[in-house]
Amino acid sequence: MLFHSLEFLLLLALTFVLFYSFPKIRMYLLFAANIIFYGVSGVKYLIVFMLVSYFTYFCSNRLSARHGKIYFYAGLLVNVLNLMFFKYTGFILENIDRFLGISMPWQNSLVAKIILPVGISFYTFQLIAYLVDVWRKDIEPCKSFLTFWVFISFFAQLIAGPIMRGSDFIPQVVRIGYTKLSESRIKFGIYYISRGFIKKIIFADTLAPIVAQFYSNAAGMGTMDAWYATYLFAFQIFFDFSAYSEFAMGIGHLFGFNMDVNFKTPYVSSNPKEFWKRWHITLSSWIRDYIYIPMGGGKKSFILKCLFVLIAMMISGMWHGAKWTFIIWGAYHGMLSVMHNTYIKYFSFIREKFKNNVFYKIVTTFVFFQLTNIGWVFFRANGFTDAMIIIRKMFSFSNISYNGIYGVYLVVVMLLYLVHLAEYWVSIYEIQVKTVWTTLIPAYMRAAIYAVIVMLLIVFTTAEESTFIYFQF
Amino acid sequence: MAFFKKTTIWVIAYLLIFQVLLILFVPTAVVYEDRIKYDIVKNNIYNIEAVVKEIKDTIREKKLLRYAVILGDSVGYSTPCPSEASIGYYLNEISKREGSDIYFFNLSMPSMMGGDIYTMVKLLHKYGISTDNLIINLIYPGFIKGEPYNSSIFWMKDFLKDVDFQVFKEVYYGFYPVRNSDLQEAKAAIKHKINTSVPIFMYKDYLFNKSYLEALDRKAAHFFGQPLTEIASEPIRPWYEKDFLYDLMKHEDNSYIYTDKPFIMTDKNPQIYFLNKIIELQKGKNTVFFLAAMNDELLADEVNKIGYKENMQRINDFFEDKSVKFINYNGRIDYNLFSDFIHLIEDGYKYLAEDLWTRIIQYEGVGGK
Repeated sequence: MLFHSLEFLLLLALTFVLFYSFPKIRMYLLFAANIIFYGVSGVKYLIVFMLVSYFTYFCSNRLSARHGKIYFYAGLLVNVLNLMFFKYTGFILENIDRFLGISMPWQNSLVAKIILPVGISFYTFQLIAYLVDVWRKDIEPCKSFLTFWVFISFFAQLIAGPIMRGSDFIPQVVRIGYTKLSESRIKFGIYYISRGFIKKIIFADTLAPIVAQFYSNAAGMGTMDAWYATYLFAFQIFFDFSAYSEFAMGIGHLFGFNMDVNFKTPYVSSNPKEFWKRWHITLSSWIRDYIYIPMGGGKKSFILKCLFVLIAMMISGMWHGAKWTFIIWGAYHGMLSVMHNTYIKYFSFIREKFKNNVFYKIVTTFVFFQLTNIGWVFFRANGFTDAMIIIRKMFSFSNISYNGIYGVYLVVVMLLYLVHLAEYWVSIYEIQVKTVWTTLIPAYMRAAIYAVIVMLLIVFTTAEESTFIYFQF
Repeated sequence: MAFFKKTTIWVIAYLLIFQVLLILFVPTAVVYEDRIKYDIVKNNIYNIEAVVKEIKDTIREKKLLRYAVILGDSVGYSTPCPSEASIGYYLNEISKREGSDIYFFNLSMPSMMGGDIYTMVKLLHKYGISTDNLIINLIYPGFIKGEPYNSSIFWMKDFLKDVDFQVFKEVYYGFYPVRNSDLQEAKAAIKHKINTSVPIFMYKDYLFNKSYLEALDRKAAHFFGQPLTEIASEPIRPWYEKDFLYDLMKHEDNSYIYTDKPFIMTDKNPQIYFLNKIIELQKGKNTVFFLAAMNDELLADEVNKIGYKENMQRINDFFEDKSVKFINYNGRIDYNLFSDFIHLIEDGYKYLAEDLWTRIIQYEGVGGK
């Protein structure tokens, strides 16, 4: 069920009205709404999700018992196997066949039958995080499955995050009965939902067909086309994914929940460390807390630290999809992080000298944005061969002859970057912007802008409801 | 919640003003240019209502007293030619050349069947658009009962429900092969209502096309050498320059096009059911049906089969005693004018328009000066 579909808007409206009309049954209401929301994508997958959730819930309540360790590993194993089966069976069998030459006769028919349940990567990571947190005694196990289910399957973030932690979200769910209909909550809710709609419908869905055109014809691209297409994809994926996260935040506000921020204008980052604090933040922190740190993190030698970063980033890449291109994308970002760590360790005097220099910040941001874009080629290309063709095109400086269209390319990319900078600026001066907006601009002018936005959203909404990129993960 | 009140009232006011402005100021060319904009309507059939509304406005603004509406499928639409080489365009040019005051509106659309045409006639009536002069294009395979013409209604099912519920029920329970669930029906009804009642929804795809897709097409034209969305972007070639056509037509999947199985010419055949309905509806009006010619050079073996010829005769016989004019173009179009088995090249549609004109001016009312 897509956020911009009629069905979802009806479900949201109905749940919202009932939520505030009948405070005593809120938990049951969200329990049911989450089931309906996920059930629409397939009853069989809903059953799998509920069973895995219940097993995790069951195990989490046995961790302090005599054989707690068994329950911990059993819980982990079930979650990992569930993800592995649905997401990686085809990939594993294909690579066994490719590298070991062992082909199973039932391989193709099995793979054809496996359909990836929506949101499986997200809910698996959320379940694992919860189980580990309970095991580490960072949080108390949830005593009610009703509460646990609302925490794990809240429809606003179930399909594509943010990946919520039990320590943040469960206490909010427990207090659900006390949530009051608040003016500021509704305002923030509508604000974030509107931002989500603008990002998804006006930007992401508008960029998608252009990117698809270019990427479907990798060999036909010249250097400028390859860079242009990849810049557009960088903005498409940002708008698309951050739109979902902002929908989630907005819907969360409507029900009195604070959802984690997942994006903080990532393309203003000047290095990998900053980038991962701005891009898909809840996944980055998950990888850090549940993979990188348990491996040893920064406590081991520099070489091992770099190795752990590389492994963690490759796992992050693989989480995105069962394709080598995603693993390469993760490895590429791992290498960027390793290079940055090396720079910090051995050339920190340069950084110290220029770190407050605006020009240095601009240059490093520009350079890192280009590096990020090279990585996006692996993420978007239709296979490794296409990715390599596009990368070669980017650096071959072929087919460059003065052409008016390059001016259009430049203007479009600069405008998109300006939109990104505007978002960055608004996030820094949010309170001042809000104050100016509500106090200095009269209601009739604000309303005119809202009305234009509504009209634009309607015009840009296409007949086919386009899905979110991250739904496939 | 006081903070919402003032702003919300203003937003609602602006939105209402926008709706009025849209009705008043969207140029007809955005919605209709010599024919329906198929690329836009095919993705959302409810967009056809904006066309009908614009035609009504054009009739009022131009104070047209005599006009004719063309309904039909891809031949009437004039696939694969651009709009400025379509039947409607040529007929208007001829009308101007001949000093006639009659104006032609072409509402044909690829894959329109008898049921769609009947619904269009009813929809025109709903908008107060006269069908006193009506030209309808039919094709030979449209008379098949069963696959792929099970219900004889391809596009306009939801409209039929709206404009003639009784017939809809008969069709839905009698012929319709795939039935939607109640939820799908309810969703379609809501979508239909919104799309046809609120101006921004009525025009949104046209505005999007104008503001975005046309720009995208220009970009695609730069990159790929051809636009993406315009059907007629490729040069129109005659059929004999397409080597693949012969094999394509012989393919089993396409054999229905020239079937020699006997046509059922009773109301049990949805095409006949709807043709009878149209004829009944058009009683006392000028209605011209024309059967598009098949390319009898490309389909030489097939059109010479006895069964095919008998079917052709059945169609002629069907119209024999009807109160409408019927023109069967089979054998009357030079095979050099075809672009495939049934569609024509620019000169073909020009010829068809000229021929239609000479025939319909003999028919009282339609083209007469």
